[in-house]
Amino acid sequence: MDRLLSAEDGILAQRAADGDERAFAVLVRRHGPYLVAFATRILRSRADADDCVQEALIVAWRRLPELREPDRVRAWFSTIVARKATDRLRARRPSTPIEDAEPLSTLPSPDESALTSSQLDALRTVLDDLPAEQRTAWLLREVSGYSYDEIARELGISATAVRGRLARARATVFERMQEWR
Amino acid sequence: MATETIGESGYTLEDLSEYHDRGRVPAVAAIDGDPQCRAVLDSMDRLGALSRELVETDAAQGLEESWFEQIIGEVARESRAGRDLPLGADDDVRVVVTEGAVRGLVRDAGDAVDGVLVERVDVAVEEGRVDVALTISVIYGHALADVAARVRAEVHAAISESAAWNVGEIDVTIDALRMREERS
Repeated sequence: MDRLLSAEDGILAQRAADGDERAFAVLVRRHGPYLVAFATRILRSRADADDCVQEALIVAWRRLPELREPDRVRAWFSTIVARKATDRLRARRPSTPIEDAEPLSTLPSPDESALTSSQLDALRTVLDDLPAEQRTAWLLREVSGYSYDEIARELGISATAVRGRLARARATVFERMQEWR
Repeated sequence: MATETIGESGYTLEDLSEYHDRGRVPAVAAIDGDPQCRAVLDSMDRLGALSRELVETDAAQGLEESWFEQIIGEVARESRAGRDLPLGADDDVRVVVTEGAVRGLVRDAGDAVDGVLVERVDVAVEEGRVDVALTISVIYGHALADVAARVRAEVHAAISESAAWNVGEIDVTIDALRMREERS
């Protein structure tokens, strides 16, 4: 039904919570690309992000009846994606605390190399080089607009630890992006 | 890192980072009054905006059709049917319909009224009588009482056609007004 294509998120989310698969499909098409882009930054891998967001959206479908604020369904999707992505980061290196992991050298993946904006490319590289938990905290704060408390809940750490990670992330990003400021 | 203080403020880069995340509240005069600090804070704003732009730019690349189809396919397999509602009162055979199916019926009936999109549907069946409560959104400019009456009539007709229930209350709540319908 093409009327659903122009319906607001809140209406679609309420219908989807009632089991309307078409409404859910519209939401997935509307927000899927953003969610995959967001997860790609956390995971540094588009292929992992594709899988991660699919998994997260199927979880979201099951849990939609629990959604309290249908108008904020995109933020709610992001929360589930962030949690799934964090789980994946932990599973990648079961014996290494993420905080201690050294940043990997970064080469842009093929699907990213076509991007022409050098400033965005520079930021992408700087973010990719951050330790995973600093990077995740930065993305939740700056891209998703989460509060310290919300980030703490998602990452299972204290708000104080969030503040420390964000401060370190910001200092690094700030210094390495100096030439672009 | 960043142990030196910025400008004349006496605050470090990390201090400014926390100040930035607090939304610069409560205001610290030593920071707000220092031109170098203000420049640093403005840069932090720009780096945040640039991060959002980075994700939006990547999002604009789009996704493979198969990526969507896999999700929709999985969702269809897991369709949430809800409770079983008793259709018949026969002693020998118990006939039921799922709550999900009745909700779908009500939703389609409501959507059929010009300007209406159904939001939530609640269905309750007791002793052969069905009560329905639904919230709808209506395009601005339609006479609301008229719209509600037509939705009620459509839902009544759809249920009566499909099930042997006595239709009890049909409670229509207009939850939202939409300005217009964009055709795509």
